[in-house]
Amino acid sequence: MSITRRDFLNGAALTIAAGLTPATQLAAQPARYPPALMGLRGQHEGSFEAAHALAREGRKFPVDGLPISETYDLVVVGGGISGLSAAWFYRRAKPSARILILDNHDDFGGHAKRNEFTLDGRRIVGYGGSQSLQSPKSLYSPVAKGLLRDLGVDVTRFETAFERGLYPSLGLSRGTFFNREMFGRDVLVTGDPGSDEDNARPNAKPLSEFVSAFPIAEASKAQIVALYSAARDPLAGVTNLDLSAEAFPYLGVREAEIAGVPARLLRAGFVGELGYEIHVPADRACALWDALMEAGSVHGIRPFGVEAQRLLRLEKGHIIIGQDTDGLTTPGEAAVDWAVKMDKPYFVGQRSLEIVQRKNPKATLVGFTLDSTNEGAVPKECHLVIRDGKIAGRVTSIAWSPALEKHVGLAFVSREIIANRGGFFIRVDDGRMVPARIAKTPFYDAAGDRQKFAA
Amino acid sequence: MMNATRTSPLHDRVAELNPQWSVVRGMRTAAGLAGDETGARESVAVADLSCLDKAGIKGPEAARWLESLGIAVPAKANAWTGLPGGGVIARLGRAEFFLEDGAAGDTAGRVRDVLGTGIAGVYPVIRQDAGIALVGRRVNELLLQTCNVNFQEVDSASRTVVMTMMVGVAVLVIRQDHQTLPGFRIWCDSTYAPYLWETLSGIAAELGGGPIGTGSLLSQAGKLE
Repeated sequence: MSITRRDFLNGAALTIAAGLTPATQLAAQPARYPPALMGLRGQHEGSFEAAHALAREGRKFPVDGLPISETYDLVVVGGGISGLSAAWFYRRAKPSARILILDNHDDFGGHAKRNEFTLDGRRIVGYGGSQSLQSPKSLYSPVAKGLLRDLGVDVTRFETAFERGLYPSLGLSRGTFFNREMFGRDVLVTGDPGSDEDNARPNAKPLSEFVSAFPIAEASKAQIVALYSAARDPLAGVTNLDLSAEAFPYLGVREAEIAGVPARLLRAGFVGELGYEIHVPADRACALWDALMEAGSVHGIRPFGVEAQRLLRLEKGHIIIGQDTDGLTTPGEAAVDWAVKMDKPYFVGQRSLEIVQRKNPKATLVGFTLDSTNEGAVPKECHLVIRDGKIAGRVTSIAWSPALEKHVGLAFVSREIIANRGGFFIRVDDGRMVPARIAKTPFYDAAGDRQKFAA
Repeated sequence: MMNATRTSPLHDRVAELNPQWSVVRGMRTAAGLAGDETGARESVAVADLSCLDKAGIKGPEAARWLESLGIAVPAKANAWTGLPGGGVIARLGRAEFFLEDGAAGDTAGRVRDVLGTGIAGVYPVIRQDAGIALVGRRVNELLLQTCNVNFQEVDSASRTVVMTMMVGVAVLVIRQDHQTLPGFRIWCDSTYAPYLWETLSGIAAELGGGPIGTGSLLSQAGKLE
């Protein structure tokens, strides 16, 4: 089938540009007005021949030699709601842009077509594609909601314009058909499992009863019931984001809606547990907090304060900038050289760091534990490390770890102490010397198992 | 999924004042407060207008891009102009703008929805400011006690934007009269808002005024609870 450029312009390719109103043009030609066409309006003749020829017959359509007679700022392939939205946003960003939208069907809209009928002189508009989409109120992003608003789409009209009681009024309910080819026998299972709270649906059935009639193995039935009824973790219960380790790995960053709030999530590991940092607009934070608390109530969720956070991170040997470092600390002294890409062409401070790196640091941040024989005073942060009667460092963090049943801490210690790989003393308030020993960090869960999903 | 309600940074302070709540732009907002609001306005009244939509934008192409959307931008820095529906657009520098819708406008919301989608030379600035209105004949007496800018020289016709410190808090201030009463709009970082609110409310009370709801200030009040 030969499709000329003119056919595109008359039929399915619409140019969005100032002054053009394609829908009006088409409406003026009733014979070519797609919404008025009758019959099934899916893959009609003319929409699939080229694709079939490519895929089934291996035909080639040489296009490289075609002359370029017109230019556009944007060509959108596909005139469904995504393509039309792309064109809309582009035009808004660049109001004078010339945009060409190409589609292989007789109407734009993709699954969101409409059919128009005239009855007794009155125009009736029905859906010619998808009946309804996901709930814009709660599931759409702010960008998508803004698009609906700009287009003048009043989503609340659904509540009054859509007859939700039609099927029940006709005595009809839902059902699932299992065919012989796939399941060995034809079985129609009727019923609406819905939710436990909503038993007013016609033919409402508990999920387990509904699934029990499926022509599948008992183990499979149990898995389906578990899929819908098993407890989920609090976050998974309030977002559609795929939280699996594969889709959202450790140190990953994702954007999603959580409980209807636009959020940026960081799968961080500061406290060493499987967890997320969730960043949201300030005016939505209370709503998100309430939603998480509610979703987590069945799991015994409870807030924790920064003191617990500081202990958990210390058990992992994670430093706090400003507490375990100060304004003069270099990456080498803080033992985080690995975080600095010295082989970059340039960054601010690179030359200074190169100079510093040529010298051995006088002191380095290390982990330590208190000697088990210590029964006296416990050192505090900023207490001094003493070697041979001289100051050889200072404590930056220290706390009792209930998980490890000992005191753990971080301290700057001199390279002489590190070279001896041994113990040192910390002078406490009353002047006594408390023995301590360098220890490898993380103190706790060195393999990072607690930051992984349970197998 | 729930439909999340926005919360004002001043919610807890306002909640103590026996408010008649309404919802404006998805935020629970006091339409009215117990007490003599008319009398407060005649002296000096303080209102929480944090509910209004805001947007921040900067970049070398910011002005041109806003104009391409049909938004009239102030020609010079430290000036503001009105937006449809009672909003304002303030030019904070050569290439930075702050927009806030009135109760009936949607310019800031429209701009914010598009920002961050890769428009060259145009960058979003997150604005989570608390918005406060001061209204009343004694408003300048209050400002004299809180800030060293002489706001009596800031008339409503000049449409000047003042960025200064008010009781130690960085604020953005414009003159915006209400009917026949002199008035000012103040924006500040939301974490400082309760402190600023308490200070302004305290001084307003000493002058015979105090906090009021938004009902008499917004041309289009929200739905009452």
